[in-house]
Amino acid sequence: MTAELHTLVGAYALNALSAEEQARFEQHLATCAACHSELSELQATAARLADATWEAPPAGIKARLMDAVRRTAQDRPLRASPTHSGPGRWLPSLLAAAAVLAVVASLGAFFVERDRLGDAQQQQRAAAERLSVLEQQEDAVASVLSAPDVRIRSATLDNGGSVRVIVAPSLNSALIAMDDLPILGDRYSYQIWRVGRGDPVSGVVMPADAQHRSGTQLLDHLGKTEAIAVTVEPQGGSSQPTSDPIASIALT
Amino acid sequence: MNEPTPLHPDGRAPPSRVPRARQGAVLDDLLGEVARCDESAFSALYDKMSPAVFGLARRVVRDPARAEEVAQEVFLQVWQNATRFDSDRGAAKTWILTLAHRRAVDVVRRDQSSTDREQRYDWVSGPDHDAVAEEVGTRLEHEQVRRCLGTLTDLQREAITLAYYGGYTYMEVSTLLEANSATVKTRMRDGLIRLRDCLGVTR
Repeated sequence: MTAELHTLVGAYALNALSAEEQARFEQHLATCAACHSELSELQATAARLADATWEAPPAGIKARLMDAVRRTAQDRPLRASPTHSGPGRWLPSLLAAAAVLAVVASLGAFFVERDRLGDAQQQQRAAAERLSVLEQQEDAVASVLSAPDVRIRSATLDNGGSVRVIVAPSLNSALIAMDDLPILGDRYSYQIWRVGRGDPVSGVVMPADAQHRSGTQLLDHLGKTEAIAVTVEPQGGSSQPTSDPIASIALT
Repeated sequence: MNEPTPLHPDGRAPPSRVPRARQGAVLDDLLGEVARCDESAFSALYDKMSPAVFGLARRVVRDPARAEEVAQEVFLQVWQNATRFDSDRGAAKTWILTLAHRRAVDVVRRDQSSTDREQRYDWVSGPDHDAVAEEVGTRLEHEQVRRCLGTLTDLQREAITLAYYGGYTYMEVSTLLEANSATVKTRMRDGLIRLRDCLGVTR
């Protein structure tokens, strides 16, 4: 199936797929790091075919367009820049330093949002409320990291990213830290699943505005969850997985 | 239509003074400035890219008024989404032309399922080519594209040009060419790979 999907790369670069095949291929693309370089070369090649159709547009277009541009806001960038310094107060003594650094690196987005909201706090009550939620999450994160029975499981995602699961059975909670994630664009999200005896249950969908290259999510009430799985789902997430997991990590 | 392009005494277009790689970098930089809300950069980007975008739209959708709409929509999308362009993943020119092609193909598939799209893919002597004066650098690039298309097998070339210039899906192409759809799909890929190598495309 995967090999068959992959041969669609040429037709995809030419926009020669039906809408349904295009969606399937894009889902495959999100999990196939190797496809990206081939696709970008073939798209660049296809774009060269436009060299043969060069034609000056009617003059009126530009004035209308410049007018429209003045009235049109630009989209927010998809990728934030989660640079962060000073994780010192996060260092729990119970974890090996190397493991902690790896985890803290992926907590960057957390801190950035918290700091940003910290500035806005004086001006906006809504921001203050959100801040308190984040602070509670921060406390929960700190508790997991410093739990006496904490343990770390890690895995490589099929699309090249990596995931670490930091489990604290005594707290019935786990942190899921994902790094080097390929950006999925507007139409897909990463979704984390709790896997137990029955059907997988949605844990959390990575928020749309957090589709930068890393992200950390807290899962509590683990209960009988035996493993964590990650899939790529249409934007907003699905009630059941619609594609094969790109990683699956046993908690025990 | 444009002013005719002046030719060298020997009848050939003079070589472009700006190498392709540098032209590409100029476009990448302009798009970066557009992403910072710079209207004059957008104006310059429009001047550089609009003949490629409009010409492509015109080739695929044919109707000049529809092509104008496509070009406007594409440039407005460029303005809105410039913040999401990632130069690590490809050149600005490719990004813009991919948006333009996708939009044109959407329009042509929605507009007409029964008209004469099959007449539109004549890449060697399309009705527009001789009438349209091209910019100097583009003329040379056009020649290179034509030459490289000539190195493909007939099936590769027909599959690629029907899809790109005609806006057909590979299933439609396989019907038009009376060829197996799996074969057409494969020929699109290996034809593009051969074209990539002939054109020296790196990304």
